[in-house]
Amino acid sequence: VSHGVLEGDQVSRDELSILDETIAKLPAHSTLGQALASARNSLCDGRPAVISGFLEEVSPSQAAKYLGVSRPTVYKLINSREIPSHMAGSHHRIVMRDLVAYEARRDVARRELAETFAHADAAEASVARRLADVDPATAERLGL
Amino acid sequence: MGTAGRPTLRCLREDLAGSVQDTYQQGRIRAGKVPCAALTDTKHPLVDWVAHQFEVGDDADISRTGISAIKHPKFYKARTGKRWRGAVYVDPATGQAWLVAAGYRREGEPDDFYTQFAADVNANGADRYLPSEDDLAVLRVEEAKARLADWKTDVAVAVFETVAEAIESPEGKASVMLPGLDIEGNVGQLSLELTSDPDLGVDEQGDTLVEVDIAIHDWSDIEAERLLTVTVCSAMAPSEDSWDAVPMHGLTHLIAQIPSARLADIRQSVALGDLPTEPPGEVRQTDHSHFVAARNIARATVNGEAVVAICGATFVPRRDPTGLDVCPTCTDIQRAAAGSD
Repeated sequence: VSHGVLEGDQVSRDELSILDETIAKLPAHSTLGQALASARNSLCDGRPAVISGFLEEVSPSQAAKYLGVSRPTVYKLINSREIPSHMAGSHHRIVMRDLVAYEARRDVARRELAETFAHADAAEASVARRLADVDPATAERLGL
Repeated sequence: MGTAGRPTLRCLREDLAGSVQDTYQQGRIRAGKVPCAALTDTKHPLVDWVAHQFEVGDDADISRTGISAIKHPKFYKARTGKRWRGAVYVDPATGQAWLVAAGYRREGEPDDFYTQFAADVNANGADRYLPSEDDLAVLRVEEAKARLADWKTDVAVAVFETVAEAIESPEGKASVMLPGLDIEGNVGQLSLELTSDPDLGVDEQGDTLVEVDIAIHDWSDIEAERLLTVTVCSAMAPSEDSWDAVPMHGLTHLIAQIPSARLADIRQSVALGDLPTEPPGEVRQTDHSHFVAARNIARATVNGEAVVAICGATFVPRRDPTGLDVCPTCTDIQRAAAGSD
């Protein structure tokens, strides 16, 4: 059973203190140490953490935690072939690599969304200008 | 359609600029720009007086005094306080009133301004004073903005009704044709789906979270669609960090986890007919500052591009982060990376 995506309540305090000792034993500025410390801080604050091999397989419910969406939305992504999956018996399995690839595509959409939110005023001014049938040069000159 | 009596750009620039009671507006006027979004908001007593005396759809001129020394076109006297005098032209085609000239009353000469104005118009014609193409363009943009505000309100109402319908439907789904705009590529549909999943957990108040998935179909006008996206999101959850993008079927679905109490409120509003009467505001950023790679921040701030913070939040820097609390996730990661934890 793979446990690529961990929830805070799946890890005990004892396990966390052993993890702390392990991190302390690693050399300062160790990349592995930083990755483990980052996962540890997330778990302590009740947020999920991912520790996984690139080709590890996860369940739709773990994928939902990784993507920060509901499980039904993961099934929608599987059914629309946005995320490849295969069956292991009666269960869907998703390769971690495919989740990472989906997240990379999603980042493009996220940037567009952030820019949409940030530039709402400019979009509104431009739509108003077009509704009013005022050319861009005039709008610019008059500061509309 | 029309607005309250408003100044012409010539009157603002040549007659009023120096006495506008706001230095920002003065600077805009001197740079040849409109001082504010609605010209009737120019901070000047005479502009204010004209806006109140010449209201939209006023057809009776009983309280108005004409400048009798000018036969054609007809100008009315404007006056406020002891000092400010002006001339108002009412466009016969639209009923729109324009403050076309203004000046000080000189000591001991009560009608000095009107006499000078009449002499100038009678000698040189009125064209210099009548509203210009630029004045009409500014007026049209103001009217378009008012129409957009009404349209955004209609969109918010459509969102509320769609949410209520989705709550009542067995699949948690509903879709609606969105109100159109008078530009090409303006027709579109909003589909909305509500998903309950116990794994989504609860918010700080202990309310169950429900996932809202929205998609806007068929709008081909990109700018109008952006405005629509912001309006739809803001009507439901006005905080930027509520929303995330989920590409699906070549379309970006927008997903938010919204407390069930908020959805119940919307449903209640629809049931009581208590629908939005104002346009929803912007989608606001959180009160947190984030850690972002220094090499990315300058370019993004100048170009208005999005950056990805080390906690994963994607946003366009648009607030001064000074004095804001640092995002707790960013703090953790920063601490871990510095090896000081």
